[in-house]
Amino acid sequence: MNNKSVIDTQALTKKYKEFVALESLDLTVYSGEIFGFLGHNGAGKTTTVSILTTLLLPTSGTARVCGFDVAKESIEVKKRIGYLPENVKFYDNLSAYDNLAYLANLSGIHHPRKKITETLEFLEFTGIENKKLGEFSKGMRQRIGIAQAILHDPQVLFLDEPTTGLDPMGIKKLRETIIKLNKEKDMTIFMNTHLLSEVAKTCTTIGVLNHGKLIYKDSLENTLKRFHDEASLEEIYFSMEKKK
Amino acid sequence: MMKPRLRRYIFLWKKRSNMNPLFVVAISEIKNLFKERIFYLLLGVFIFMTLASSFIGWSTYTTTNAVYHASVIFLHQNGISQVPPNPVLSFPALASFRNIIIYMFLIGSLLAIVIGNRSFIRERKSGALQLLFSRPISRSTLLLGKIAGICIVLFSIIGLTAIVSIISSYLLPLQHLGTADIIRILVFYLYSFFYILLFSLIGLLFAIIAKSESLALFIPVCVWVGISFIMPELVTGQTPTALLNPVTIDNFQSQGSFFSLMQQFLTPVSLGWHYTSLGSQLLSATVDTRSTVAILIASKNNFIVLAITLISSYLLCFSALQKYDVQSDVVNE
Repeated sequence: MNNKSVIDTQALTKKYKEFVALESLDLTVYSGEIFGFLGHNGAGKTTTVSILTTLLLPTSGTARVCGFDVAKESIEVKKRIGYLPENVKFYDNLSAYDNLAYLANLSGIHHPRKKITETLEFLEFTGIENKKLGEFSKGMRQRIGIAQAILHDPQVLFLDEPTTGLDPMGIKKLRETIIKLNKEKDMTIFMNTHLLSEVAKTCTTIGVLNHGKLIYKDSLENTLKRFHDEASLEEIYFSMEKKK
Repeated sequence: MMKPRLRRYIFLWKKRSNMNPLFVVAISEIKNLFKERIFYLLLGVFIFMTLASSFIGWSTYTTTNAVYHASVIFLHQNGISQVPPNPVLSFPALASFRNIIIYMFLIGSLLAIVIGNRSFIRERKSGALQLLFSRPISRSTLLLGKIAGICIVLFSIIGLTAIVSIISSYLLPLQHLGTADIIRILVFYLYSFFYILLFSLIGLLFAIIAKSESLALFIPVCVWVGISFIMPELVTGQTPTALLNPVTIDNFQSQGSFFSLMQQFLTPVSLGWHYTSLGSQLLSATVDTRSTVAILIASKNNFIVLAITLISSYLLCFSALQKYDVQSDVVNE
């Protein structure tokens, strides 16, 4: 981890008519962090990721990813990020390879076939290239989802509720993959989740969003020190929510 | 079995690096459309329509000819030596193709709507748009790639139909076509391509903006009814069935002040009317002694209106795709 920020938002706000989904968010995520973004359902986590991945325009405020403005330099941002949406969907009638090759070509990858093989080997997920995605289980789709997100070696990987629908074995495998990506590929990870146990096992920094407002952000280490009276991260989270 | 050399070319093509994203989208679009039944249905219908049109033309020609010869024999038997000339000799060379105008005008444009519609509805239903939009390509590149794919598919269908048209004219014992006639047929099909492309863009537009799959198809069909029936009817004051007659009506009778007013305002923008009118001129549904170039120059306003409508449809698709909210989109049946 170093002090170079890869995500930086200033007064980032998103409104849907009268409803404020995100209110004046000031957030900095540094290179090499595994950032766990916590919050209840509807807190604004997915809205934040959607803005940071350029899928959604903010109503006001600015957001920069890898030094580029998400609204004005979206293509440059997209070159440097990988994104795994919640409930990732593919072309089910195509094989895993064809899906990945299409997305790799759109990402401008020079040797798609070689890169796909390398990525699947990195994820220890080989031998499935020619199977149609429609035949895949949720866990297998999630792994192909991660493969498509890291094909172009992004600097930042956004994961939106990556554990949704996974069994305990799938969750464990995902956790190992996230740590491996962070350690071996030096990828900064931004993970939306409400699985506190996973945050405790995976993340280096946490942020808590409550009704569109960031109410807490610190390293996991400092958090556990500061709230030493609480037995678990879950209790810490509930005490924060209560204080709010 | 695929020949080794062909397999090698495909392998080398797949191995090619760093393709332009526009081509990537266009190739994917073509592959997807070739996998869909609608492509084969459209191709089958067009070729059938072409063959049917040629057959009907041939049947009309031979029947008229047979009736004429029977009449000549009857007249001679009754001592009448002066007989009028054979009417088939005055048939324009391309008259046997004129039914294609109506087939293309009605069925071609309707099926083109389905092709444009499927192009984006397929993406929405798959749910893969989130992944597409997270790639480093602009939405305009995605749209242009899709339109390029649709253009290539429509052009191949129209091209094949044109080839079948020309071949059938040689197979059936019709009047033989000269080079000028073949040019006229090709110009007609080229014009038809742009005409039905407009309907594909309309299908694509509503596939982007409509909330449900059925609405995404229903609205363009309503637009099709408007362009194909309502506007020409208001322009000509004709009944819809009369409009199906692919013969140029140069001096249609105005039926009161309402139709006069409509004729004045709607004639310049009535695309359906322009299509059937120019189509019938090109395929000589009436005897037209002008050259193809002269007909095209005289119809320049038609092309301008069609070009403006095509560009406007593209811009509307572009604007709709820019506003498209991929996060909240759920397409219903």
